[in-house]
Amino acid sequence: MTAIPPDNLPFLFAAFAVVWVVFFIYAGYMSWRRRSVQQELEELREPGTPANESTAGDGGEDAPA
Amino acid sequence: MAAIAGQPTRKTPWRAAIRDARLWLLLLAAVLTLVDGYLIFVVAPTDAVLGHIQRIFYIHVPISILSFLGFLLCAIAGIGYLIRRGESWDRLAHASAEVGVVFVTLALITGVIWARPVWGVWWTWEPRLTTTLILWFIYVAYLMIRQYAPTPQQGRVWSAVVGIIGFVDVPIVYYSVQWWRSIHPVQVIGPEAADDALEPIMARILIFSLVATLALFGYLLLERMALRKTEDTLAQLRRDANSD
Repeated sequence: MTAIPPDNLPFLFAAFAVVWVVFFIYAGYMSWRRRSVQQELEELREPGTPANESTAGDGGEDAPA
Repeated sequence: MAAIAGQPTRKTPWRAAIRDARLWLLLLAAVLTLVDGYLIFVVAPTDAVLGHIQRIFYIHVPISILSFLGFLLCAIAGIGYLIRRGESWDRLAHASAEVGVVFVTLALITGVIWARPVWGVWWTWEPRLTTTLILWFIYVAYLMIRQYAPTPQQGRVWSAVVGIIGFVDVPIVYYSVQWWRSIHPVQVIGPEAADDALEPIMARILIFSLVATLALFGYLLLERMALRKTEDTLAQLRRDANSD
C-alpha cells in the first residue's frame, strides 16, 4: 500500500453515494409513476366508462414499445 | 385491438417477455453491482499518484460512455421516427434521451467531485468539461421541447431533430482531450485509447464496471419505455373520454 491522502475518502464516498442515490430515486420515481398511471387507467376502463370500449387493451403497464 | 369493457386484457407472450426482461435485468444489475463494488474497493489496486480518489474512475467512465450510448440511441430512433413516424421509435428516442440525461448528469457530478481534490477546483472551463456541459444542455433542451411544444406531434418532430443534431457533440466530447489543450486525463477506452493506458487489472475491472452499468442502463431504458407506453395509453383514453 502506498501512502494515501486520507482527505480524499469523503470525496470518494460522496461520488458513489450520489450515483446510487440518484439511480434509486430515478428508478423509484418511474415505478411510482407507472403504478399511478396504471391505477388511472384501471379507473377509466371500469364498465360504464365510454372510452374503454375503443381503446382498452392497447397498452398498459407491461406493454412494450 | 379492442377489448370488451370490464374484461381483463389478454396478455400476449411478448409482453410478458418484456416484463420478465426488465426483472431479469434489474436482478442482473443488482448482482453485478455488488460484485463490482467488491472489485472496485477491494481488488483494484490503489493508484500510486492519486490514491483512493482514482476509484471514482470505475464509475465515472462507464456512466459517461453509457450516456453517449443513450444519445446515440436517441439519434438513431429520431431518424427512425422522422422516416417512419412510428410511436415505437419516438418512445425509444424519448426514453434513451431521458436516461442519457440522468447518466451525463452523474458523469458531470462525479467528475466535479473527482476534480476538487485532484485539480484543487470544483469546476474549470477546460474543453472536456465544457463540451460535456453543452451536451447536457442540448438534451435537457430536448426534454423541454417535448414537454412544452404547442402540440405533442410538433414536440416529437422538433425533439427528433434536436436529438439528431445534438449527437454531433458526442464525438466532440470524446476527442476534446486531443483536439484542444486540456488538463483532463486522456481516453482510457475507445478508438483513441493507448494499449497501455491502464494496468491490466484496472482495465478488466473497468470492463466489468461497464457491463454492470450497462445492465442498469438497460433496465432503466426498458422501464422508461414501459412507463411512456402506459402514459400514451392513458392520454389516448382521456382524449376518447373527452370526445364522447
